Amino acid sequence: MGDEYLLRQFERILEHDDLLDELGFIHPSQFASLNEGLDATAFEISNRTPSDFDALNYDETAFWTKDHKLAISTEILTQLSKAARRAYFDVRSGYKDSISVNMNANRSDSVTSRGSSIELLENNLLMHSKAILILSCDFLSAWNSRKQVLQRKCNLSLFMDELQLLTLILSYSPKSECAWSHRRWVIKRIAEKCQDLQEIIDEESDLARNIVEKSKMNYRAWNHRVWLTNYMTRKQVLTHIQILDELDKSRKWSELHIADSCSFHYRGRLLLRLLENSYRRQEEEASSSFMSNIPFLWEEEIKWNKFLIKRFMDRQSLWVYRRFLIQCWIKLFRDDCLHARQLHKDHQNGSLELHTDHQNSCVLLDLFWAKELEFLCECLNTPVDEFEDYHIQAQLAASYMLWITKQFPFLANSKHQERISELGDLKAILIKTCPDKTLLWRSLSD
Amino acid sequence: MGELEAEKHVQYILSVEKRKDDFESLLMEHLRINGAYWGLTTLDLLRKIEAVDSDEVVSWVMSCQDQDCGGFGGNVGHDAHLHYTLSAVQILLLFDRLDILDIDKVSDYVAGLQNEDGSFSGDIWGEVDTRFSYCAICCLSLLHRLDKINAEKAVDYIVSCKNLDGGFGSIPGGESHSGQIFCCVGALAITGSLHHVDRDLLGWWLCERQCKDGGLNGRPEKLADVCYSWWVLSSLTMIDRVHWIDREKLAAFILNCQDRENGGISDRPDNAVDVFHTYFGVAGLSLLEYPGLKPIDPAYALPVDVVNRIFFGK
Repeated sequence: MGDEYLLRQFERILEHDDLLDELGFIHPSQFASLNEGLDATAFEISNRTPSDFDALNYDETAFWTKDHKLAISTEILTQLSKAARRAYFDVRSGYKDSISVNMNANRSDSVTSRGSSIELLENNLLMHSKAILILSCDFLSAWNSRKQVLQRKCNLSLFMDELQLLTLILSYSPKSECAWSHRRWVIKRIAEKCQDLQEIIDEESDLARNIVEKSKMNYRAWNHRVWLTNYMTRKQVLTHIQILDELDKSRKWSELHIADSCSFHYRGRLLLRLLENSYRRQEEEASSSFMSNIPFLWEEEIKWNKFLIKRFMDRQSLWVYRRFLIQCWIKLFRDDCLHARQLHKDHQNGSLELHTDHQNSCVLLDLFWAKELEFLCECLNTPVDEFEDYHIQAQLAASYMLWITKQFPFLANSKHQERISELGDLKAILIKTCPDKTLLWRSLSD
Repeated sequence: MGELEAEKHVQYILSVEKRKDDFESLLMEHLRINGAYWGLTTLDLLRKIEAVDSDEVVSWVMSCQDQDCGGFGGNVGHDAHLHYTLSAVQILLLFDRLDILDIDKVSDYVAGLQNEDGSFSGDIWGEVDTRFSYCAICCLSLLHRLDKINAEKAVDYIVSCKNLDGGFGSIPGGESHSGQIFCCVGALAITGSLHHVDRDLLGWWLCERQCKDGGLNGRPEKLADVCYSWWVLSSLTMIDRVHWIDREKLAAFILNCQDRENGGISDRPDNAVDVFHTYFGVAGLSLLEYPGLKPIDPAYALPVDVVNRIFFGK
């Protein structure tokens, strides 16, 4: 069978069913089993009648499609890819020429007929690039051609269709660099045209959640969420309440995916966003009060993290997150505390009293340290020789504490000095519990 | 563990270079120029670059250039991008053939992608990432054209992507990742701005990437992968903390990922090999001063003798 013929069939299937939601590449011998699997349940969820598909003729050894699912035989991938590339490059060069002719043309030319031929080329370009990208999702030039056409057409519903195509491709290629990047481009274009972005925010959030559910620790997917938070805040679309809502939703997820360090990083980002927003508001409203619900939220997060650490004894992800939480927390309170002491000094001879919020900060910080050291003592004093979990926990706790003392050298000279020395020689503990990294422990300066 | 199967790796790379027709090579078609850079640099580190016909490679590389914008595509007829442009320049330098290039045209393309905030877009479509900052800064430095950009702003942007753990992400607030760290530290090293890095803090984070099997991972809770032997190790080298990890165990891990029969190195022991991991494995061993290999420059990702030729005229 000719390659072009196969490509035509493939593109007709794609055209026929623009709601495809699942796609796979399998050996044709498995096609039969797909029919068995679908019979009972899938027809119920299908919106189309079977006759819609009857109109579509295709080689059943090459493709299988039903209920918005498409399987492509692994036997024809090379043929199909080559045909798609040829068709794409042909129409692309024709399109480039037409565009440049059109730009240089003067008005007396028959603009309408040229316009319709450009339209035809654009439709073909969208069709062939889609065929390529479904087979090879990091084919950068094909994504770019789509951007070029979409930008010229600048039609909101086409942008929305594009998001759907991307959702399909990301469902089986969740790490595709080009697909994620193209998605951001589309979202930016939609944001230019459309005021109400709430739907987009919800959709992106759902998409990312679905993807990271299947593709663990997917850096690109999580990065997309961070990007979206940055972008939407800049656009002033994301409100305080929405961030709180997102924090709330992601909490359950994180508990179920305890090793997924990315999800904790994301939570950290959301918390920092809230903090930045509250600072901004503080400036805008010229309010002197630092207190809002942020410190409370932060404290809750630290408590929750401790709860998880006690429950899951050997997870590096949790301790990495704790470093972050504590580091921010101390900075937050220490700055406030230093500020308070300064204020106190300035006003000692005057009539002003030390602001109670600031006083509280100093007390809270001390209290916090006392509790933190007690918790670490607990982790370090578990019977290290008995189970591997305890062993790892002691190592993670010691490494965490050593890290904290390096970040905050003032601790060593504080009133907690004695308590810290009770923890023991951290380096010695680390050399014992984690001899692999002896070179690191020995090299860290005292 | 055994030794490095240098000769087999050479044969493997030469065979990949010739293969063009199966689906796997079609999937790689759009980034063939990156593949060529990985393969050719590996050959050079193995002291076997003369096994390829340099004229043929150079003329193919030049045919990937977009004559309108000056940047390079991943293959003939493909759209230009900073990543491909850097690979093209690096390949020409391996063969000492910069004379064939209109340097100002290429560097104008690269410099034109700098944004107001100092960051770089990968191409005209505007995606921003610290990897593109590295591509741009490395490329312009190799071409002696760093003066075409606002280097101070470029550095500021990279610093804005630094996290509290000492690492760097792809955008401000992006999670630390060893690959991004290499790009950021590399760009800072090239621009003489390493004072922005807390060496002890970042060094610690990077050391924590060494797993029980001796290999390095890219982030907490991930498996080791040979590619991080390059990204983590080169970063550690640039900040002078490479003696903090167990180098012998790392070398053993890399050597264990070799296909001893047909050549090539994979991401983890017993997986399928590819040219990408073959490069990162050999480059990692070169940083570990494995005998017989040429030393590699950790910032420019080219053999040291090539870099010396560029900056000191040998």
